[in-house]
Amino acid sequence: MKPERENPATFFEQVEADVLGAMQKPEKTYWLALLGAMTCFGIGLACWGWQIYSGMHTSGKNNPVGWYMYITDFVFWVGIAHSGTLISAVLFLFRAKFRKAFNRTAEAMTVIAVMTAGLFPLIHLGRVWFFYWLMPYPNQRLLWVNFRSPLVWDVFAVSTYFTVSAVFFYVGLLPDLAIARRRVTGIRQWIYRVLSLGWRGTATQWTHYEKLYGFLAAFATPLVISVHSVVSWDFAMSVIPGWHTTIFAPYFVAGAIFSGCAMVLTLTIPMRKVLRLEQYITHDHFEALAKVMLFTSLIVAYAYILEYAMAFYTTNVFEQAHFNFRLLGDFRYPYWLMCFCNVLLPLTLFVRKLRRNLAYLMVVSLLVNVGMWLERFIIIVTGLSHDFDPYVWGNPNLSWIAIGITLGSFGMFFTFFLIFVKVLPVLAITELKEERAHETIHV
Amino acid sequence: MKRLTLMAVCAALVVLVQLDTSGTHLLPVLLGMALTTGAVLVVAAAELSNAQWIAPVKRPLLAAAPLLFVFPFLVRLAPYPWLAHETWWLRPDFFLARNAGALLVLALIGNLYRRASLTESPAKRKWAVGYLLTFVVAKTMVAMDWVMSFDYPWISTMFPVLYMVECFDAGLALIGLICFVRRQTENVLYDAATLLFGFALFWGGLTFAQYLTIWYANLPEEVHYFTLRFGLMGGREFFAGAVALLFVVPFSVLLIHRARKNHNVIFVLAHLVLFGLVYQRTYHLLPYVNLQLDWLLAESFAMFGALALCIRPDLGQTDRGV
Amino acid sequence: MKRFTFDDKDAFLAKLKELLASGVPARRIQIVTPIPVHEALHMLKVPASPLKFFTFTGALTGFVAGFALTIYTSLSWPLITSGKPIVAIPPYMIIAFELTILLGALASLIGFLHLNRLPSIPHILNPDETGNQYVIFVEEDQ
Repeated sequence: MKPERENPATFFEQVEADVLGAMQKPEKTYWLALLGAMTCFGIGLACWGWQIYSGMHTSGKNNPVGWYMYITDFVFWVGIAHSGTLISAVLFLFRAKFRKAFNRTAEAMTVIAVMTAGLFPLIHLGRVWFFYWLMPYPNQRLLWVNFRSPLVWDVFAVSTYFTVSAVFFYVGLLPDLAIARRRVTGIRQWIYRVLSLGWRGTATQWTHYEKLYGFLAAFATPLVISVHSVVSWDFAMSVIPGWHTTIFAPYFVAGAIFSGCAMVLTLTIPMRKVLRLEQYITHDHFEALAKVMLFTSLIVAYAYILEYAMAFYTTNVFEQAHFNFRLLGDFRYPYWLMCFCNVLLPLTLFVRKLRRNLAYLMVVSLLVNVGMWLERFIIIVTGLSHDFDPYVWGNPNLSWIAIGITLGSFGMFFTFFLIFVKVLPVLAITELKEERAHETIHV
Repeated sequence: MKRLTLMAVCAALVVLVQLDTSGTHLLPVLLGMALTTGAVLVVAAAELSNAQWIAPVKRPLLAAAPLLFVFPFLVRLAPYPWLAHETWWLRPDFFLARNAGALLVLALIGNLYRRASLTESPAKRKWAVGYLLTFVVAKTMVAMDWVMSFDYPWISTMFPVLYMVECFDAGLALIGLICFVRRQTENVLYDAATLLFGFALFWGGLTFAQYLTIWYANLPEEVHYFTLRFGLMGGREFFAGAVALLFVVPFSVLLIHRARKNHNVIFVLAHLVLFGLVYQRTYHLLPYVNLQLDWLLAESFAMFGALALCIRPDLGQTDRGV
Repeated sequence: MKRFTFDDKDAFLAKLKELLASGVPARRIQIVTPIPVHEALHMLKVPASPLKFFTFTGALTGFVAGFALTIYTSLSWPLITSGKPIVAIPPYMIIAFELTILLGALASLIGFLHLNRLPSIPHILNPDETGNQYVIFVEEDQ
C-alpha cells in the first residue's frame, strides 16, 4: 500500500531521517554479520596467499580443465554486476517507477561485484605480480597485448564497466552526500563535505546534473549488453563444442540480469527489514523485480532448450556427445540442480501470490544464485573435460583452496556491502523526494 | 463488402503461394509474417510492461491479428536441399504439420489476445504472455525450418533470435507508418522511435555477435555460410545493405532527439527498416532461391494488400489507454 | 543580497514569478532547491546545458583512439595469431566501442565538474546549508 499523501515538506524530512537513520551506530547483529563476512574474506585471502606460495596446482585445475572455479566466479560476479546497471540505467531510460526502491543498492552492488570479479583474472594468473602485462604499454619486451584475443577485450570491457559504473554511482550519490553532510557531525561531516564537492543545488547545477545523469545512463545501457557479451565471447570464440555457439552473447546477458536480480532480492529483503525501510520498498517493488527475474529465466530456459535442440538437429557428433555428457555424464547432478533452480523454480513466479511473498522470494533468489553459479560451472567444466578427443577427457580435482577463494569472494562482497550500508544512504533520497514532489528527470 | 474483399485477397494469396514451386514465396510471406506477428508482439510486450504510450495505436496494430490465420495455409515446401536426403526432423510431412500447427496455435492465441486487449478484459495479460510464448516457439520453428534448413547442417543458435528481433523491428516500423498516416505526433511516436533506436542497436549487436563468432573460429563448415553468399552476385551488397538499413541509418538518425518527434523522418526510416528486412531475407535465400519476378510481385501485392485491408478500417481509431 | 526562503514549492514559484514580473533581471536571481524544479528553470530561462559537446568529443576521441591503438600496435609488431589478419577489424571494433563509452563517460564527468565549477572549495569549507527549503537569492542592484 502506498503511504498516505503527506505534505512534501514533511516527507522530505521523513525520508532523510529514515534513510540516514540506517547509517547510525550499528547494533550487535550488524557486527556479527560483518564479522562473518570478514572471516570468509580472510579465509579467501589466506587461501590465495597459499596458492601464490605453492603454485596453481592447488586450484584444482589440470589438463584438460584449464579453467575451473575461478573463471566460474569471475563470470558469476560480473553477471551479478549487470543487474545493478540494468536497474539504475536501463530502467531509468524506460522511466520505470519501481526502480527507485532498488537503484542505490543495485548500483553499490554493481561496483562491489565488479571489484570482486576483477580480482579473479589476477587470482587465475598464478604469477599475480605480472598482472600489468595485460595492459597495453610500450615495453622493452617489444610486445603489445594481443587485441585479437577475447581476454584482452575482457580487460577493456570490465575496466570500462567498473569505471563507468563507479562514476554513475558517484554522480547519483552527489545530492545525497550533500544531505548526509548536513545531518552528521565531526569527522564524518568533513568526509561528506569533501565527497559532495560543495554541491548546493543551484539552477545551473541541476541543469547540468540532469544532462549528465541522462548521458551516463545512455552510456551504461550498451555496457549492460556489451560487457557480458564480451565475457561470453571468452568461450564462444573457441571451437569447443558447447562453447562455440553464436547465441552466447544474449544468453549470458539474460543470465547475468537473472542472477543479478536474484542477488538484489537477497540483499534488499533482509536489508529492508533490518533498516526499517518498509515504507519505501514495498511489495509492489518486489513483485516488479520478480517479474524481471521471471522474464530473464524464460530467456535462459529458451537458450538451454535451443542449444540442446540445435545440437541434435545438426549431424555434428561432437555437439551431440557434449550435450549428452552434460545431461547424463559426470556432472549430471549439478546440471539437474541447475535446471531446477534456473528453469523450473522461477516458473512458480507466474503465480501472483508467490511473487508478493517475501520469504518465498528470498528462498527463490538464493536458489537462483546457486543455480546460476552452477550454470557457469557446468558450461566451463563440461566443455573442457569432454571435448573432441576421448584420450584427453578428464575431470578437474576437488580443491579446498578454490572453494576457500570462492567463499572469500562472497565474504569480500558482503563485507563491502555491509560497509556501504552504514556509510552511504541505501536509498536514492533525492529521487524519492522528486517522485513525491511529482518532478521527474527528463531524458 | 470489405471483409469479402479481404477474404478474396487472402484466398488469392494462398493459391499463389501454393502454386509457386520456386521458393519465391518465402520473401513476401516471411516479411508479411514479420509485420503481422510483430504488430501484435509490440502491443503484447507494451501492455505487459504497463507502457501507456501504446494505447493510441493499439487498435490498428491488433487489427492485423486476424491475418495470422492465413499463415498456416502459406506453409509449403521450397526447393530445400534436404528433400533429397531426409532426416527425422527434416521431412516433408513433419515439416508441414508442425509449421502449420504452430502457426495455427499462434493465430488462435493472437486473436484471443486481441479480443481480451480491445475489451480491456482482466485476462489480457495472461493472453499476452501466452502470445509471447507461442510467438517464440513458432518463430523459432519458422526461422530454423523455413530458412536455416537451406544450409543444413549449418546451424547458428542466434538465427531464430535475430528473426524475433526483426519481427519486433517490423512492428515498430509499422507504428511509424501508422503515425504518419494519422499525423500523430504524441508520445507514441517518440517512444516508438526510441524503441526503434534501441532495437537497431540490439540488432546490430546480435548480428555482430553472430558474425564475430563465426569469423573468429574460422571453421570451414560455418564460414561457408558467409563465403558462399559473398561469392554470389549481390551477396555482399545485400549484407551491407541490411546492416546499413537495419543498424547504421536508424542509429545515426535517431541519435538526434528532434528526429524522434518528427513523423516525416520516422516515416522514411520505417520504410528503410522494412527494406533492410527485405535485404536481410534476400541475403539469406540468395544461393538457393531463384526469385521469379512475376510470382514475387503477385504474392507481394496479395500479402501486403491483405495486411493493408486488415489495418485500414481501424486506422482512425485512437484508444485513450487505461 | 536578499534571501527568500520557502518550505513549499508553490509559494517559492509564486514569489519567483512575482520577482521576475517586477522587473528583476534573471541573471541577478539565484535559486537553490533540494530537487530540480523545472518550472523555475524555465522561468529563469536557464540555457540548455552544453554538456553534450564534452560527451560527443570524448566519445569520438575514444572511438578514434580505439582503432588507432589497436591498428598501430598490431602493425608495429606484426605477429600472426590464430590465422587472423594483422589488422583484424571485427575484434578492434570491440576495443573501439569500449573506449568510446569510457572516454565519453569520463569526458561528460569532467565537463560537468567544469561547468559547475566543482569541487567548490569555499562551499566545502563552509557549506551554506539550505536543507529542504527552496531559496531565492537576489543580488542587490549596484
